[in-house]
Amino acid sequence: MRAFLSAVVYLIFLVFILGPLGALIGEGGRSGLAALWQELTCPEAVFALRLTLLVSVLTVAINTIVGVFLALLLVRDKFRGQGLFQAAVDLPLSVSPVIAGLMLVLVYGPYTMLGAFLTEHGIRIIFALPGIVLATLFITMPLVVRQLVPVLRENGLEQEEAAYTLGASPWITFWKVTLPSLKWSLLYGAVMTLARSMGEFGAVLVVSGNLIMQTQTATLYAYDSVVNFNMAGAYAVSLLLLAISFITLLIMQTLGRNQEVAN
Amino acid sequence: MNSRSSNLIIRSLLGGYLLMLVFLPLGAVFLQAWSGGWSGFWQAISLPAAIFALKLSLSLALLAALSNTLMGTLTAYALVRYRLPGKTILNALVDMPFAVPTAVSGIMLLILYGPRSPLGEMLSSWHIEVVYAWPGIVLAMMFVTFPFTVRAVQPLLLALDKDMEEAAWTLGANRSQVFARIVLPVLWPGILSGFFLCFARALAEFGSIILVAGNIPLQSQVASVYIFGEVESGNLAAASAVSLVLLAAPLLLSWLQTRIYPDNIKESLTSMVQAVREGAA
Repeated sequence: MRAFLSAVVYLIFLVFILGPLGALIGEGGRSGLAALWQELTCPEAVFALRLTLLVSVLTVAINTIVGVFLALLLVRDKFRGQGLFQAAVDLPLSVSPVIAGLMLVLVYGPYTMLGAFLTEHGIRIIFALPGIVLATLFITMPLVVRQLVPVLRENGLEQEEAAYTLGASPWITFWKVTLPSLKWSLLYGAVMTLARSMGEFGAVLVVSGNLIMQTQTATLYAYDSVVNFNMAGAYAVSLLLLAISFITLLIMQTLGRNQEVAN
Repeated sequence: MNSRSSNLIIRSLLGGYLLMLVFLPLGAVFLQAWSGGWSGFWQAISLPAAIFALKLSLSLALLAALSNTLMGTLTAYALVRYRLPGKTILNALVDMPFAVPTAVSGIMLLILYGPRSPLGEMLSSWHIEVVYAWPGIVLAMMFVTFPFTVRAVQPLLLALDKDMEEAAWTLGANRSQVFARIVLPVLWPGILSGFFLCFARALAEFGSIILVAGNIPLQSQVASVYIFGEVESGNLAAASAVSLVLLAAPLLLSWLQTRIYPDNIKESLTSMVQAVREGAA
């Protein structure tokens, strides 16, 4: 029985995880490193990768800072309407990325009131960089908050109260007591946000318009390459994204262990 | 500046951020879906292609969630209880689908099961079409939701005290009795929460499905892909109407879930997050 179930589990991993992974690495590898490199360095691919990097860095910066304050607000504050904040933080997790994109188009698109107003003032959101960043911010908003909330709950207020009685100001207490206690979880959340930002596809596809060399991110480039039968281009960018996911996964495992030790 | 007014400023800033990012967009979908009144909404979701897409999404997500719940529970059990060679690597691989971009997952499945691959050729010689058909959609849904049940069940198994099982053994219970009476009741909340997470995530999935299944109305078009098509053709009201139906399904489910396990659910969610963090068991 035990041997049979173990064999089934190995089979599950083989079919569902290793099979797809091996297929991409095998097929990609068959094109040869030189060809892959050539595909990666063509202007369209380079543009897409740089755009993805820019969007990810912006998203991580904004959502890490906002995440800390949102988590503090949810755990430490008490006010009417707090439930709404909680609901807003949870919402992106259950929304399909396409719907997230649609929602943003409906508010900031060129044919809406707000969109028309912004266009008049020379600000384009949909089919431009701000829209891509907004979509990525929406999708990744819960990640940092959800890492921090349980840690804040568990830590309680004792350390902060001790700092206050010793005469520290709220600002000093935040920097010297609260933030250091969140260090590992914050890093973990930030890495998760980074991985998710680099990989976002559906929401970005809807808001960006997928314009080559203008609003095409790396995942959109990979998708477009498949649609246009440029398989080598698709493999090259996919393998790079896969390598990045492996690295983030490794970082997250290491950070997870550090968190354990810290707690 | 005293702390009360600085609190108020922080609250307003965060409120503004969420208003811009979440509340306005959510409200806009409702308004747009209702722009033609109840009849317009009804008309949009009762188009044959819309009904087909919603039915396909719901039934395939159910199938994917059920099979992943079964496989995930088994995987978690083996990872915790059995002496598997290469266990650390297997445990790390569980999270792989979360880390890989969904578009890349789609490309992987396309290569593995596509018409030009040996596996795809073999399957199509048996008249099993995977790519551009429903099996491909289920495989894509299963791939992206694989970690959920494993990570929901694993911490509960780790926390389960072996004493209880040993007591049952000494009292003469057999293998299946111990599993059904002692182990399963403890795992049940995790299994259930894993199932609901899989189902919700599978319903929402887009990137891998559009690559594997394409966008063929009344054949392989799931709801998320249908919505995308309507947005692309500028039909925002119809896209919003179908979106509302798709948004309502997971909300309904999470309500149902809190009815079944009001106390356990928060616990099992936190333990899941912890399990993901823990990595190696």
